[in-house]
Amino acid sequence: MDITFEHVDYTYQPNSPLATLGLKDINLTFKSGSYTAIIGQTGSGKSTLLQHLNALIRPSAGRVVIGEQVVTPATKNKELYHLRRRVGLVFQFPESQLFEETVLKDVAFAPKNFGKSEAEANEIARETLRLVGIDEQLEDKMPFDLSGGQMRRVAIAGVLAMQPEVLVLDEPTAGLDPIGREQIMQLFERIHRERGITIILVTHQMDDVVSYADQAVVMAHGEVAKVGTPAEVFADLNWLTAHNLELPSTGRFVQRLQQKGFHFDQMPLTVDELLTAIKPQLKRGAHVG
Amino acid sequence: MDKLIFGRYYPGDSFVHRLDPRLKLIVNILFIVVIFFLKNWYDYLILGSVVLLGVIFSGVSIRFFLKGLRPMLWLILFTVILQLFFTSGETVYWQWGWLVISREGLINATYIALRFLLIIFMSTLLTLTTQPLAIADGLEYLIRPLKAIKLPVNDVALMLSIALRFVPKLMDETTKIMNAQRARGVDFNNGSLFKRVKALIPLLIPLMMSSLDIATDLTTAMISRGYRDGEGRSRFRILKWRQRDSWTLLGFVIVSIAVMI
Amino acid sequence: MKLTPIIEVRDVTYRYPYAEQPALDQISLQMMPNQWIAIVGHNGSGKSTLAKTFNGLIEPQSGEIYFDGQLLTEETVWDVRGQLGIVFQNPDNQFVGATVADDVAFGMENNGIPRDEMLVRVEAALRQVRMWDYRHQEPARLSGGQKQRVALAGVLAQRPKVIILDEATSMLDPQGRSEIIDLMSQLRAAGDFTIISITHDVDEAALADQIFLIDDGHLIMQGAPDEFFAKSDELHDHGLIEPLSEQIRGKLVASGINLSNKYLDENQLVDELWTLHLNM
Repeated sequence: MDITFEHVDYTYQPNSPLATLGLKDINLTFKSGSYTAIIGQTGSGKSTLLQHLNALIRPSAGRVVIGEQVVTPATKNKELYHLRRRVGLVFQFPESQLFEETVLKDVAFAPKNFGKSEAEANEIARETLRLVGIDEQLEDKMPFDLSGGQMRRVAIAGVLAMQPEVLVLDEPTAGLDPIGREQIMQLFERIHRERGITIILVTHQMDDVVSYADQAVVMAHGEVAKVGTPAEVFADLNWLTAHNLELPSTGRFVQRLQQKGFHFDQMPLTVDELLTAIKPQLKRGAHVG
Repeated sequence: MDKLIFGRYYPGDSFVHRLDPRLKLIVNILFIVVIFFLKNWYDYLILGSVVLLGVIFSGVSIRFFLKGLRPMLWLILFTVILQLFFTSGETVYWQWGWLVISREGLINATYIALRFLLIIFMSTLLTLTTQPLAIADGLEYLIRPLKAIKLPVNDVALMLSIALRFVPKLMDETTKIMNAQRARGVDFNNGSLFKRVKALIPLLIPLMMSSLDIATDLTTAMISRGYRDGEGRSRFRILKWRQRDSWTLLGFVIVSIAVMI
Repeated sequence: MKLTPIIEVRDVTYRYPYAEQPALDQISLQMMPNQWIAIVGHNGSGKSTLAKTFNGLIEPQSGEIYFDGQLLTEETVWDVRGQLGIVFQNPDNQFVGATVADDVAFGMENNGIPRDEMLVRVEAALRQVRMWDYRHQEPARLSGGQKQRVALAGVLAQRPKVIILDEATSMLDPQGRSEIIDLMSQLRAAGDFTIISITHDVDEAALADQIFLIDDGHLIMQGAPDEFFAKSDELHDHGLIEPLSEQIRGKLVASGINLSNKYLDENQLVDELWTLHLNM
């Protein structure tokens, strides 16, 4: 299922003195089966963009085409309900949406809302919990009794259980430690690869953009500032710095090496690429004294 | 919900804005008392002028006052109709079974409507020109004498100001959780009454949990910063009673006495 | 003369109610004054619990805590709370005051400091964290990083001996995080207090003088960054990843480039690589 934005504007509190433009003339395509990262400073419009992806909000102007459903300012809410199953949205700190008495019930909540029977929903919930690495023993626990990392995974399972075709993730690893972060990102990578789910990830972790995404979108002041492959977007370090964006962790290092006379044909985005680029420029076996 | 709480304070720097919140609270309380002593049209005219004067000096458009009236409209209408039809009197204008419109009923109904109108305008004047926090500060000063009956005034005041401080945060949280549950297929706006009430559970439980989290975190932070109880604390935020406050109070008291005797 | 540790933990054990495993298990350690100390460990390792014992927010079931040589007891705990300030993880849930200035004053109000003195200290603290222009703002209008700066100002205004940042940057965006880290570096240079940062961000820990690694409620290892980060296997075993410069150094050394055999921060590594540059 492709998602396309065509000249989308979004205005907060329209027709009031407080009206502010949240999005301005957005044109974007998220191809079926792709992995897109959206980056940009806090307040650049990423979250507003995100909520258009499953029609939680409708554009003030222009249109969003989600599969065969066209969303315009005039679209009725009723038509949008079934989009929500097809586009799963994982909010920041999703554990705050848990509410059922047991882990299993919480994960089965969304499938039940979308018309699955109790038995079907439980079946899907069990399967999804295994997928995110939650053991059977935890199924009957209160969600609030789990550790922070487990709660996060249960909450994500609660969205995955809708079996969406597109998964939208708003900083899904915020607040987790390095290993927890890695596990969650690997989980998304796996379902992206094995099930062909389209992923749209909002993140501040530039290394994740490099490692996982095939398209990167840079948002600034409610507009799309740049779109391309991660390599294209990160090619110009000065441009990124000028837009107050983080660099991939190799970026800072590369900048320093450049000042010392090292030469890079292409911006190395991973440690291995960086090593490949600098090794030929070094004396071998020389001893540091 | 936003409009209910945030539409209230109208930022400004007018004479009324700058009056001490304690003065505005006292005047409001006195005003309600005085209203019930009014005897004739002239009294209403005088108090009405006082309110009008306040509105003019506040620099806030009358539209905002009328907006404040809206939520109360049904209550006013209901009371007025009750007064109108059920006051018995000597001069009957119209009668249908036990429904009677009499001269006395008409007068009573009008008076009631005017009282409502004046009180609402006056209290709207307070909320439009005073930040909620300043109102809380003012209240704290005014309830201080209650310390004598062992009311923990300082704690109550702190509770009030923290509650105010967390209103916007809880609103954000509500929006966030609503969106998250809508994304999981909850429909808050459609369906039968039973369905809609049921839809509130996935909203209310997370809200309660996050309020508990906030409370725990906040308590930890407050203890770490040396908070024991309201006693022995010094104050950073203070209110200053100025001459204009005294003059305003004096003026209002004179008018009040004039209409009451 | 032997220096008194600013914080000493002796055989402390603490188990949360209903928990199967103790969060702190017979842990002992010493922290020296006027250092920048990092306590690292993955989520649930016990590092935040440990910090909560320092000012009596958590009362261990056994063991003792000494603050600046003084045993922490019910009598001394309020005194210690005045000398040890904590910036917590969630920027929203520690903001007590109605405005920025009110929040900074909160701790001083609790200690009954006269208003004139408060006015002076509030201004100084807010200027130090560059938030003076925001003094009349309500918290709802501030970014996460700004709220944490206000929290830090509240701590500074109390003139503490120890400042603890309990995962204070973990909920912030990169900009907010770097604001706080810059401030911490400036504070270390300016004041004479001990900074304890509890974190799982190794880049933040790398700035410390001394790092403690905690896991399962035990102290696993401690050391200055150069020894500490050289033990990358140990870090991996306990759920952490070494800083980028160490990853690069390790791989270069493994492929036969002759670099120092200890942890180098980014500047040091770049400098060494420069001396090996062919076109120098």
